[in-house]
Amino acid sequence: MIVEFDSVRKSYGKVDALKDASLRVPQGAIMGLIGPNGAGKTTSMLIITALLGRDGGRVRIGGIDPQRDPLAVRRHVGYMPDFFGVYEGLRATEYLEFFAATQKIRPVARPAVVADLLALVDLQDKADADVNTLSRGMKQRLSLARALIHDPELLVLDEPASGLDPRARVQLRELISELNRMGRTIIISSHILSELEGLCSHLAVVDHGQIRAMGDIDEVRSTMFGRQRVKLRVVGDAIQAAESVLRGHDSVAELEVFRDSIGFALHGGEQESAALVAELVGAGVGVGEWRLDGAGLEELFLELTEDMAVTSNGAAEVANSALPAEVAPDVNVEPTEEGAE
Amino acid sequence: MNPVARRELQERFRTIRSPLVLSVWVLAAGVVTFLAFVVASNSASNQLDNVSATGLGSVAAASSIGRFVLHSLLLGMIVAILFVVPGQAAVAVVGERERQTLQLLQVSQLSAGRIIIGKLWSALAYISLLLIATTPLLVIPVLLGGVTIGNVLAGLGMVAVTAVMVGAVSLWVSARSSSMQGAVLGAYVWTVAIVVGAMGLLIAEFFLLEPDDTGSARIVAGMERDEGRELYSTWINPIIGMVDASADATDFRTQIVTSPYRVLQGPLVTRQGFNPSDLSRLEIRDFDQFGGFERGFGAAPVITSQTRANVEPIRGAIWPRTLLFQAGLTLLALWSAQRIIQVPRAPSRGLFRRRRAHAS
Repeated sequence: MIVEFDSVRKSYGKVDALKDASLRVPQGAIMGLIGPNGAGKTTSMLIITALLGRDGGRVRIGGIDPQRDPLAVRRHVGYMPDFFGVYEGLRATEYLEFFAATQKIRPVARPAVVADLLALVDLQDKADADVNTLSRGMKQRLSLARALIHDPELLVLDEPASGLDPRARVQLRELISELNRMGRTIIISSHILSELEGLCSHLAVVDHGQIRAMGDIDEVRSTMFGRQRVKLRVVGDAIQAAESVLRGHDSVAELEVFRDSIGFALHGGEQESAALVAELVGAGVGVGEWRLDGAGLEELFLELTEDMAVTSNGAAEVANSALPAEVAPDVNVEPTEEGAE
Repeated sequence: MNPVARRELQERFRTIRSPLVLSVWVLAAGVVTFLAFVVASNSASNQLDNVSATGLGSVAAASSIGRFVLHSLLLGMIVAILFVVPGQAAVAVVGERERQTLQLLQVSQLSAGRIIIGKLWSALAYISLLLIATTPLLVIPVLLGGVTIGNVLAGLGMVAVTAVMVGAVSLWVSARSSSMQGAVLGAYVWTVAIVVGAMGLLIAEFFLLEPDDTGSARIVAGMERDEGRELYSTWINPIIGMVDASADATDFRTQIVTSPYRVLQGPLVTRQGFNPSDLSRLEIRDFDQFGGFERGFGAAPVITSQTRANVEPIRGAIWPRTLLFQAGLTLLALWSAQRIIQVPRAPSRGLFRRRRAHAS
């Protein structure tokens, strides 16, 4: 695990941003952090990047405690906040060279590193452009290049697609996938959940400062909804045998039988799913297709926020209004349009 | 080189503003030097019947003019420093906050201390350039005489140390502030508090706390040894530190041209005290001629140049104490500033909970 959170607590005055939050991010994963405003996503990210201290609990980033050795943690972590800090009159190359210097990259190595990164984010032709003149999408890519300047193992991206047009989103998404293929672990938060769909291998649902669900996406869906929608296509004329097996199974409900397929709700996760497939095969049913039609992230998110609205009413609003002013002094977190986490 | 300082200097010197300000600064310093020379020459002409005459009269006049020019230039420089440095340094950290770049620095391999030192360097590098550009003008008083290279360097050194102190305090204000305006205002308020406050303390200590008659003076073979008294407020005053480093307090009024430092002579001489060391060579009439032992701000016991060589100050120089005070304040301000921007912070505890700066 590259990130380990155990019962982490963090509060801003009377507002608890994290309450015994526990999180695990496996090496090589793309972990999506989703949750409503004020849930604790940005706070978690700031703790991971050693920009914010915790009040209690245990945190290890690559085995290092960020509170004890923040500089060591920052060597392994690249952070792209949800804003683009810019210096007046700097060209893209100079911008990256400056941050290369802040990461203690040797002067002789800087030009090559900067050139490689500009190529990676497809900004070679903008190397001499004033940073201020770049489009938002280009700035995001440049910001990503900045986060990568010291070749970190872990990338933490806070709302990277925010404010981008569809084309720029696609480019950024491809870039993130490419970085993951290159071996980097990526933690990404986004309110545009369709962006995370299909991109993330893992998911953590943050709510009221707690990690409500965590794991690979199917596991989380299963945890959140307690069931998955499955479509089974049967080979040959074993549809009745398949129906019989499914009807006799406690974890199966809502059967819809078609000519050569059956749709049903399966309670449980991967293990239940695997056991059921084995049972069907054992009963002589030829399984032509076994497709999990899990709930989309949008649906998950809505379910979560609806639940929160019902159960806690004003609490989220308190969190939203109280946090930015308290967080900002420490780490200069500017409130986003939706409010800081 | 510190990357923060390098980037700031790169940014600053890329615009036309910097060479313009530099030109205006050098021009202003030249004008001050010229005016000081003219004023001093006129004053010397009035004091001596024939200044242009050869001999000791002209040498004394030239020396006196040299001192006047040096003192005027140094005063002008320290006042300019007090105006320019707070404005430069106050925006350093809060500017990063407003541009949303502070967090990008904090997440890098730069420690909070290196960020603050980089900021101080960049603010002072510019000021240093202005001071260096003025250095040729400071050679003029040396050429006129009456001023040593040591006087010039000591005065310049104290101006530089004051710039560092004011820069550090302004950086601390900047680190605490949430807006540019607030930071600039705060930096000037602190600067005024340090300089004017120290002057106010000196006035209070000199006049209000003056003992009626301490009986400290005693006559030694017809010559009064004046014990004077310690004026602690002189230690914290950057202007007094500079004056003390660049001139002899007993000299100000005995010159043909009165030094602009003259207004500080009273407290400086009172603090210094004097002890006639070679009584055989003292000429008591010199004291009477220049006002004897009257007291007042600028009217303290005065010794003529003829007798000065035979009189030793009782207390040591002020400037080392000022230097220590300024160094202490500088270190404290820098340490506090880096603490403010240091992340992650340990959980706040009770009484030691810090006030936090608020971002906009």
